[in-house]
Amino acid sequence: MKRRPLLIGLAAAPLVAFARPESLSTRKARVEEVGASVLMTLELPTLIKARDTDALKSIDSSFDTTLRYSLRVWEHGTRELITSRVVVVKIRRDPWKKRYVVSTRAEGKWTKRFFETRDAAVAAATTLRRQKVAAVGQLERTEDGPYYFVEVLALRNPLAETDAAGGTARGRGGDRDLEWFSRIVDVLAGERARAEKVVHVRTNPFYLLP
Amino acid sequence: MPTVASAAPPGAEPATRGDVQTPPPVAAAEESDDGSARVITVQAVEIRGHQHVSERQIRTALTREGLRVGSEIVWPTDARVQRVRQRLRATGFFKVVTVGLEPVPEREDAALLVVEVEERSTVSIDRLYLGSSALTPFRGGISILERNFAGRGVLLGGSFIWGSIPRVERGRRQQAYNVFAEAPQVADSNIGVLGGAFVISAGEPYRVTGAYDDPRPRHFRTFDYTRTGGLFGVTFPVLPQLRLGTDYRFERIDALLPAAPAYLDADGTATPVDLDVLDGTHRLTVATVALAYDGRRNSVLTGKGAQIGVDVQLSSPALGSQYEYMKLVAVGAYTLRLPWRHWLTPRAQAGQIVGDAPRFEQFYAGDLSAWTPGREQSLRFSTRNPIDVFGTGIDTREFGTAFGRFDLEYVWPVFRRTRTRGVYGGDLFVSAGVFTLVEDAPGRAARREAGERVAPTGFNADLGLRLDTALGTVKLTIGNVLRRSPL
Repeated sequence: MKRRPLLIGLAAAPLVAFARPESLSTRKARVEEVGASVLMTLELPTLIKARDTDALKSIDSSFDTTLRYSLRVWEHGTRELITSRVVVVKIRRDPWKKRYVVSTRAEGKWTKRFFETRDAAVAAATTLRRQKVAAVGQLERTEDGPYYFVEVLALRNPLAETDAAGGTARGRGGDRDLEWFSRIVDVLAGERARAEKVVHVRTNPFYLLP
Repeated sequence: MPTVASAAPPGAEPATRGDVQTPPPVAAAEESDDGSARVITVQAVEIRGHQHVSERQIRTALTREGLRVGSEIVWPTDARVQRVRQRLRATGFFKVVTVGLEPVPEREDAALLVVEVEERSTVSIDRLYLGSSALTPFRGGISILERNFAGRGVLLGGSFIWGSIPRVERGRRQQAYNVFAEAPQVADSNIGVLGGAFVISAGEPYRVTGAYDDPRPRHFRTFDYTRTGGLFGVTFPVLPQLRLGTDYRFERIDALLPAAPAYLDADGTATPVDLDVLDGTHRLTVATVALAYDGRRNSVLTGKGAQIGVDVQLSSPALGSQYEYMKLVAVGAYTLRLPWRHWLTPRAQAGQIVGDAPRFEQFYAGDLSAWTPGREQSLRFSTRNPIDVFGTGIDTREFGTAFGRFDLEYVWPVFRRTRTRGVYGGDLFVSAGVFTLVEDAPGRAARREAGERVAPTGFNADLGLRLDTALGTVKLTIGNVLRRSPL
């Protein structure tokens, strides 16, 4: 490899690494064309892992655990956003009826499914099964592309933007030198986490058969 | 199946054609919510799993959201429940927080509100002292902070640092031990109290030969002193983001000064050195008033936040001290979020000492420089001065009675998690700035006479990764490496 392309590649690496959405890790999805809709089936089991005690206890608490899926269809290689949708899934245990309930809101409608076991309910909640991601009319259908993929941003219990800090003052101790004083403005800036768990992936590219 | 075009991206697959008649597996119930909501009355509140965190603290979080016995909850979607979880998680005391309902026999409209927590350790490493210098081959220590002692929200901390025998004639080992406690809130009042005690055994280096920018230990001797003391104080929240604190520090100093400390220059001329510490056993007492405004708590929401701190210290015979001076340090920072969600923080600090402060209370060049070892637990383990980037002579300065510093920090938040163990978040940061240090009046006169700058300018820059972990903040920076290396 010649030196110049290598240097350009190295210089661009940080930009490429954080460019979105092409740089997201790919998750295999099944895409179907059903009537006028393009449907996607995608499993995201990492959103609620089997050993995530916090998540599982949250489900068993009887209150809703909310999963919010943002689905954005992009044309591959062009950064053109075709369409976007939001699907909200709520999972909980009904302590009175002793069963698990998975409610899904898509296209403005709620649907409910009931499960005897938590594992089955979690599997249902973390799987987008034949979920509409676009209308067929929104995508082109030619011999050589274009190609599309779906960017999926899944949030478990999105955090409300409240000031829940409630923290205490920093211990001052007996050491009042300048070094200590400078540390009181030692900023750990950054973003507040958006949710208790975030999974951000893209699907494999797909295209419509002519 | 059609041929996929040659320019197809890897892994591209055609959308399979399904049966047009196949209905989506989703039924079409028309409901504004999922249709399950109903009002439940809280018959009792039960808190489980807490060990060190007091039940009172958890109940306070519930009460702030109006969740108490007799209150009504909209099950299963009451927003207050999620807020309580967030509030409790934000304390950092818990690994798991679950807020749930348990049915009451024979009642459909009432339930037990159960808060189940799993505590995490509230002990964190505040600082890790580890390094080497030409003067002290090894120094190590740790500062540990317990943020919720006895489940009462009391901060309890302790630290020590220990250095090996310095490479100077008759040098003694330096070490320091410090314990402190702070109760930010006493009972139900808004007044906090703090107290602490410390022992510092120092072998302070002072120059006897060589050029002022030559850090080799053979140009130094040390004088010994031991400080033993404590402090107590109170804090008041003037406003939610503004705290006023006042404390009184008292210490006994046992100093053993050399008979006639002097600096011998290249011409063989001896100049007396003022060590700025009284000889023998004596007292130092300091009254401090500190005002701290921290408006960054909401910066994540508002995209900006200021922080201001003013610290005034007074030592006087009227307060029982054998020193007389006043020390003022002020700092201001403003954090703002850029449109691309990175953060920029300009920060300014300045300080002035009036009177005769002991050497260990004066401003030290190493504390101002990102690349030079500063004092740790008030001890100086290195004879290295700041690097003179601008050629202004900052590498010839050690102590001063006034300083100014300005830094600009750019932070790139790389990731943020709500994990309750391990690493919560990480930021890449780069900072740059300038600083200056001005000596006392005799020092300034000598500099003027020698045609040197009274206020030389130094340069600061740093680059690294800052990790927010369960054990505390970890900085992997170039400055950190330079400060800890025996350069």
